[in-house]
Amino acid sequence: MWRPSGLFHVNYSQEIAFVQTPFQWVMLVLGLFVTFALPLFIPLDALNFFIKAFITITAVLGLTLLTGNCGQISLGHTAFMAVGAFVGAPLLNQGVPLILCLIMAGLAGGIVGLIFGLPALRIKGFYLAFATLAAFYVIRFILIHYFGGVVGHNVPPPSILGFSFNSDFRIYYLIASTCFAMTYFTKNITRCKWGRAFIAIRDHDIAANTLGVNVYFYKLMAFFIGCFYAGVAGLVLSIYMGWASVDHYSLTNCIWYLGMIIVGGMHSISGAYLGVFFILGIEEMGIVIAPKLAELFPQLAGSMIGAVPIIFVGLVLVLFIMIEPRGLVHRWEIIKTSIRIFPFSN
Amino acid sequence: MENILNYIIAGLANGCIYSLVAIGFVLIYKSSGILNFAQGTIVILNAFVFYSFTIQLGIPMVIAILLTLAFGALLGFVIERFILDRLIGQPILAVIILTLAFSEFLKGIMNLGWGTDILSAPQLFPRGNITILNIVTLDYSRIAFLVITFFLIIIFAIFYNKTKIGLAMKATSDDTIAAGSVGIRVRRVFVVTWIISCITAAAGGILVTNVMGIHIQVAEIGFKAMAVALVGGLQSLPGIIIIGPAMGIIEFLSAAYLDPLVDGGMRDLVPFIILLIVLIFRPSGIFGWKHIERI
Repeated sequence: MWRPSGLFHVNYSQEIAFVQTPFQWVMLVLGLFVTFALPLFIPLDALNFFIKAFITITAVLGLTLLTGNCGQISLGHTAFMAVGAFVGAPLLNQGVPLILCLIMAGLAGGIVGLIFGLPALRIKGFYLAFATLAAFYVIRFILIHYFGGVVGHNVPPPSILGFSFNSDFRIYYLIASTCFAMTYFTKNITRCKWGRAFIAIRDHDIAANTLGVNVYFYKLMAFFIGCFYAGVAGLVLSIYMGWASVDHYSLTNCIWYLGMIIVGGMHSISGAYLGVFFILGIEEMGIVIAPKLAELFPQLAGSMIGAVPIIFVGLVLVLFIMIEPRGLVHRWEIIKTSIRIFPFSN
Repeated sequence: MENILNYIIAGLANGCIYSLVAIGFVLIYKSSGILNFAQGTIVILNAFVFYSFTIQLGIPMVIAILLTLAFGALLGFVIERFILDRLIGQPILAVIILTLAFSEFLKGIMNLGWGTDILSAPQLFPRGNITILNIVTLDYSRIAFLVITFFLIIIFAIFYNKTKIGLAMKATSDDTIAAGSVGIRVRRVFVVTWIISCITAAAGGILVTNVMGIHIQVAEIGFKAMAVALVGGLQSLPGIIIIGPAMGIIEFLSAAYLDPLVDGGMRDLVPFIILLIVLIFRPSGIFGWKHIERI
C-alpha cells in the first residue's frame, strides 16, 4: 500500500489504525460533515436519490464481500433482502426496538443465505450462479405464499430514544448512519484473518485449502455475512418505503447490484460507492429523459417511462463490461498514480 | 386416470420445448464455455418479431416463419461478433452480468416496441381435439409440438453427428486448441454455434407462444430450460433431450396435484426445487460425467 514519505509505524496499533495520516483524518471529518449537512441544502428529489444510494450501498457492500472478495456469485441477493424486510417489519410493528430489529433482520437474511449457500460447498461458477437464481425463485414463492408477500406489511416509522424517523429528512440520517456503520464493519472484515481467507478462496480455492484455510467454513461465512448486509438493507428499504412487499425486491435490481460491483471495481469498498452512484445516476438520467423522449415519439409514450431507464442501465453495463471490465476504481488508480509520479507519467 | 394421462401428454409437449431451448444453451456452453443467461429473452424477442411479421405486416405464415428463423440467425451472428468475442477469457462474473444486462436491455427494447400487454399469437395449428380410445384428449397444437420438436431434434442430431461443420463443432467443444491446430476455424465454429442456438430459440419462441401468448414474462422459460440443461448435465445433449420432457411432465403433475395444497404457483417453482436438489447431491447433473466446475 502506498503511503506518504516520512510516515513510519513504530508499533502495531499504528500499523492497523483505521485512519493513518492527518490528510485522511481531514477527509474523514469533512466527508462525514458534508454527508450529514447535505439534507439541509438539497431539494427533496436529490435527497431521495441519496437515500436510495445509501440503501443500495449497504446491500452492495454485502455483495462486495461475497462476490468481490470471496468469489461466490449470488443472484439471490434481493431475495435475501426481502427476507430481512419480512422478518424485520412484523417485529417493528410489535414495538421491538429498531436496533434489535435491524440485527434480527440481518441474522434472518444471513441464516437463509447460509442455507441457500450450501450448494456452494460443491459447485462454483455458472452452476452456483444458477443455484442462487433458483434460490431467488424459491424464497420469493415462500414469501408470497406463507408470509403475505404480495400484499406486504405496513412498516411504522421507527424511533430511537423518542426520536421518530417519520419523514424522508429524518430517515436520511438513519440510513446514512447504517451505511457508514456497515462500511466500517466491511473495512475491518476485509483486513482481518477472515477477509484474507475470503480472498485466498477467490483466487484459488484448492491452493487456499492446502494452505490450511477451511474452505467450507469460510465460504458459508461469506454467504452469512454477505446476506446479513442484504437483510439489514432490506429492512432499511422497507422503512424508507413504509411498506414491505416482494415487488420491491426484483431480479432486475439484483442484476443491477452485481453490475454495480463490476462497474465500481470488484473488491474494494470505494468501488461499491463509485459503482452505486454511477449506475443510480444513469438510471436517474433515464427517468429524467424518458418524459422528453415520450414527447418526441408520442406513439411509444405509454411504455417509455418504464423502459428507458432499463435500456440505459442495461446498455451502460454491457458497454462497461466490454470496455473496462476492471471497473472505475482501476481507472482511478491509474489517474492517481500518474498524478503522483507526474513528470514521469505518460 | 384419464386426467393423469392428459397431464402427462401436455407436460411432454411443453417439455419438448424446454429441450429445444436448452440445446441452444448447451451448444454455446460446450463450444465457448459461456452460459448465455439471455436465452429466454432471445426466445421471446423472436416471438415478438414473428408477431410483427404475421399480424402487423400481414406476411403469409410460412414465409413469416422462415423470416423469423432468419432474424434469429442474424441476431446470433450479431451477438457473437460484437459482444461475446471480447468475453472469452474474462472472469465468469463478467460473462454472467453481461448476458443478464443484455437480457434486461432487450426486455426494455421489447417493452418499448410491443408494450406490456399479452398479445395473442397467430394461430399456427387448427383448433380442436381428438380423443384416443375415450381415454386421452389431445388438442392439435400439443400433437404438433411433439411432432415438430421431435423432427427438429432428429435434424439437429444428424447435423451435429454427420455434417462437416457439425463435427467441427463437436471437436471444438472437446478441445478448442487441438481443434484449431488441425485446421478447424474456431471463430467460424463459434459463429455457427451462436446462429444455431438463436435459431432453436426462434423455433422455441414461435411454438411456445402459440399456447402461452406473447408476453415478456414468457422469457422465464429460458430459466426453466437452463434448469433442464443443468439437471441433465451441461455436457450431455442426450441427457437434455431426456430430461426436458421429464421436467415438463413433473411440472404439469405437480401443478395438478400439489397446487391445491399450497394454493397455486407450484408449476413455476418445481424445476428450481429439482435443480437445487440435483445440484446439492449430484452437481454434474444426472447424465453429465466429464469434468465439472466443482472443488
